[in-house]
Amino acid sequence: MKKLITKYLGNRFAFSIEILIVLIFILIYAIPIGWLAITAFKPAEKAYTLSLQFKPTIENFKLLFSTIQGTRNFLPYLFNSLVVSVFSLLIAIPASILEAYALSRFDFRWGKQLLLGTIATQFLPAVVIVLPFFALYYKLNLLDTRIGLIIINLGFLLPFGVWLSKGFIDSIPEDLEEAALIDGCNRLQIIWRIILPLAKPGIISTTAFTFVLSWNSFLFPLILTNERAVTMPVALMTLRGQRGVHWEMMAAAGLVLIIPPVLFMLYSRKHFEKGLTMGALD
Amino acid sequence: MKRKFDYFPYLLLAPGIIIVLGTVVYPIIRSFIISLHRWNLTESKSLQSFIGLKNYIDAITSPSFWEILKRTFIFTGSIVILVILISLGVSLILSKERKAYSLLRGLLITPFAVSTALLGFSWRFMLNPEYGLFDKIIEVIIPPLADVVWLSNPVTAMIAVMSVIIWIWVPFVSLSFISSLMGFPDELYEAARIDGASSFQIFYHVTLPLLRPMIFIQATIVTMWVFRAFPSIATMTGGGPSNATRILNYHVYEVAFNFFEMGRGAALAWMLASLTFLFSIFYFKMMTRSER
Repeated sequence: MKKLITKYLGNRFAFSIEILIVLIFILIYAIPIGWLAITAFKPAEKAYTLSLQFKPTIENFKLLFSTIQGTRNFLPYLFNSLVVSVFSLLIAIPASILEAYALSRFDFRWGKQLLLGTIATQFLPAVVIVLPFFALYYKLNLLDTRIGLIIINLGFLLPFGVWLSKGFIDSIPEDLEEAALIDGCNRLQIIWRIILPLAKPGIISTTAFTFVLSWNSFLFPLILTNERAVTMPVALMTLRGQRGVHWEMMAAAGLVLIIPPVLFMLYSRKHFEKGLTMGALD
Repeated sequence: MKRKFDYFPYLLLAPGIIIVLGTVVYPIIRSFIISLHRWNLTESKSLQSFIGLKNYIDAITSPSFWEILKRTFIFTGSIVILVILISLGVSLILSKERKAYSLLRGLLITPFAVSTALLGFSWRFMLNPEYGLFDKIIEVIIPPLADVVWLSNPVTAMIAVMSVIIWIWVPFVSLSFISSLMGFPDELYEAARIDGASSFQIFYHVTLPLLRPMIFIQATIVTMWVFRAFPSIATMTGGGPSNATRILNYHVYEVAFNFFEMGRGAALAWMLASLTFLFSIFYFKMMTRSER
């Protein structure tokens, strides 16, 4: 492994500064999440205090998933989030891989423009997209439907998918495919049998990344849903009560919200780091 | 002999292109068309009267538009500069080969997975003057700021929102810088050290120039993302207090979906999109220039 800039802050004083900075950095990131987790397990009265002395309770989670005390049940929202994300990915990821593969292996006259164009769309402000879709869905009665969300999600997940996959696919040497062609494989088999297994780390990290984007998507569901198809991030807004936000519930809901994407990201992180370097090289 | 038309590559592209055409190209075009009309959704389900470029002209000639634009630039510029500076510091440290840092590096991708909307609420919770953790910490560490009610004061509210966005982006950008830093050839550093260069000189004359392309790339990526910033503002301040956090993207949302002025909203959205487009051109110039 290559050596790094190790003698940078050589002396001991600089070293203690370094440790201090790292500790502060860790605190800045651990505190918000930690406090969220703590508050989620606090009984309602204690949630509005800074006290660390309380009896942990799962009451908030129970309330979150039931309708006792007139609270909303979050299970449908969780379900919506899952359904929308899973189906969006089921369509977007294969489409991205195919497009990335095509752009990588074949020469199109307008290939470079297509790639740049596709990637550029990820930076379009979401409002430009959602405005006509809102009007369209309003007319077609697609407002407040999961399928409506899935469709609009595709447009914003595909550019990412292509951007992230292309790096991985580019780095797979073409000789294997040529050898397979000579052996008589048809081109679809090549993709299925050779490219996919080799690009697996890339596919996993691309999927994790796009899952996070889809799961946390806020503007689209905020505008396009109302009751039935509301997803978790937007459902958080319903925890605003008459006299302020119910923070203990918000914390519990928040914890439920962040666990899937965080776990998914951690699981794929090894593959992701490899992917970032590739992105940097192209 | 004529070669048979090879449709296979086009087949591969087909799903992607269909998706982009339907969910990106169509809305862009349709948005533009809508922007040429006067249309309030509460009055009619279909397009109302054609008014040409009036929405655009109205926007350009309204002082509040320029206020919002100026605010958007200040907001975005400050965030990008801070993110880059902080990420540089963090990545210089965390790119060192220590076991503990290796563990930290693996965790750097996690903040990005946290929903910005949730963070907005969390910050609101923690900045509460009565029971907020951040408020308390600030009280203890920076006594002069103890009485600030963060989300009620225009300046501090902006800072609060900015801090959420910086929190999300620093780990991500740091990760990119770290990847770059870890790939730099040691020979350059050895040579500089043999020549007796100090740490600072090494940083300024070796590291920084090597990192320059990546810095530009990350700056542009973050800029384009911050232009789209929405959940944090929606959950923390709703554009307030008194316009302090009303940046262009949020303003478009309000015009189109609180007031249902689709025509005006579409025009504003297009103007924001054009701005973003200009930046993406800049991004690609930077990308292609960094291809050594």
